[in-house]
Order: sequence, then C-alpha cells, then structure tokens
Amino acid sequence: MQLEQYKINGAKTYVSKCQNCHGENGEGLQNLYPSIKDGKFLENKEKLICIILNGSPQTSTLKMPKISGLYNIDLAELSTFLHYKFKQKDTLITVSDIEAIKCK
Amino acid sequence: MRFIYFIVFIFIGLACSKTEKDLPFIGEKTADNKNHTVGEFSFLNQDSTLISQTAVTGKVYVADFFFTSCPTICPVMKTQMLRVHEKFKSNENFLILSHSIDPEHDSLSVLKAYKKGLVGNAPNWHFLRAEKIYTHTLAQNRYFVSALEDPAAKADGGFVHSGAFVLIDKKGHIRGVYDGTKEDQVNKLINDIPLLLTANK
Repeated sequence: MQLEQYKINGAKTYVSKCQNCHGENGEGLQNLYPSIKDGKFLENKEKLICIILNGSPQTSTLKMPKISGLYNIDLAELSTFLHYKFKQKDTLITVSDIEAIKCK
Repeated sequence: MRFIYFIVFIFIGLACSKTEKDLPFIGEKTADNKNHTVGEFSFLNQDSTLISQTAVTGKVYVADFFFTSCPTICPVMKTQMLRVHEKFKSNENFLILSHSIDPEHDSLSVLKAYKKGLVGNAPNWHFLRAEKIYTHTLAQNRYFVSALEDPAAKADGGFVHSGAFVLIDKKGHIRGVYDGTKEDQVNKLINDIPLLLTANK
C-alpha cells in the first residue's frame, strides 16, 4: 500500500522536477541532458540524492542545478518511483533511508 | 455535377492556401504609420562574434528568450526549437536567435557548451548574450515578450519569462508569436516560415 502510494506521488514529483530535462521516459535531450533510461544512477543512492539536493559536481561547463523545494518524503517517493520506472523493481525507499544520507 | 465539385474544390483550395499577406504585423504602428520593426540590436554569440541587425537583414528569423540553468519550460522550448532547426537548417536565409536572459550565469563559454550539447555544429542558430537589462528591455519593448528577474521564482531559476517563439520577416517586422512549449503551435510556426521565406524582399 505504502509502496503504491510512494510510486504514484514519486511519479508526480518526477513530472514536475525531472521530466522537463530528462524526458518523459528518461531519454534526456541530445548531448545536453543525460539519458537516465538505463537506471545506472540508482546504483549509488547517496550520490543520486546528493546530486538532486546540491546539483551535479562542476566537472564541465554545464552542470545540473540543485533542485529546491523537496522534502525528505518527496525524495523518498521519488527514489522509489525511479527504481520502479528505470529498474522495474519494487524497492521502497523510506524517509529514514533519506535522513541517513549525509551530503558533503 | 462533376463540374460543380471541381469548382468547389478549387474554391476550398484557394481559401485554405495561406500566403505571406495573411500573417499579421504585430505591434503598434509608428507615428508615421509604419509597421513596428525590431530595430537595431547588438549581441555577442557563443563564438564571441558580434550579431547585430545587419546579420538578420533580408533573412527570416525566429527569436526566443531562455537561460541555460532553467529547469522549467526551457528544455521543452529547446526540444521544439530543435524541430524548427531541423526543418530549416539548410536554408541560408533563415536564422534562429536564442537570447540568454541570465548573462551572469550564462557566460559565452557556457553558451558554447550548451549549444554544442544541444545541436552541435549549427551555423544558423546563434546563442546570444548581452547585459541583463539590455536583453530584458529588448525582449519586452521590441519583441513584446516578457523576461524579468524575479526572486520569488528562485526555485525555478530566479527568472520569469515567456516561452514564446517570435517570427520576424526579412524587413524586421514581427509576423507571428507562437507558444514554444506547445507542439501544435510550433507546427503552425513551421508552416508559416516558408511563407516569409518565399516573400519578396
């Protein structure tokens, strides 16, 4: 039940915060916004959450901006949805999972 | 009877085929009853080349206003602008001018990297930069497109701007404003551009 709810709410957050750049199906945009289709970015949960919160590390001229306005619950729902969408896996990421992540 | 059908078909054909004259002139007329023109401007593009009104004289172009770190409508606009570019990229009388409204973040090197990532080598698509107030004023007063800084929109990058694509004819008149976030509006733009391209200078 909670899992389903997280997936639904996470999908809403994906549409409002991620989809414009990364696309409806994670396809990205040309060489500008990376494709996230293969779900590789989910292998390191900490890295994922910290990129969302702080933006991507400034390794090139262009970087992903930090995404503001997300609470831990939003991040938990979003991560749960991302696992479902791009890994086809039902993995519940909880608020305490998110709280445990300490970004630099 | 057949003949009547024939006449009806001809009539429908004539009624549907849009010409350059069907496109409006946007903006108030001047005191001496001339149509509004965009007028003089001066920007640097992503390669530090000066782009002024002389670069667009005799050409049809589409203008838009964006910033590279914009998380909201800009990526959608750029997806649509890519369609316009794909369609007319080989026409030397056609240009796209994408103006950054956030020159503090969007240095020329950022614009260069952005262009490279988006479209690669594209000689008739310029990514332009000038002083913030200059670009904002040009957008509002000459292209009639809103572009302003708004601290209240911080979560969306700190700027408020319209997603409009503005179509300009060979003489600098504004002939159409389209919502660059909507596919059907951009289809309309793609249909209108050739009308201006084939019009006499």
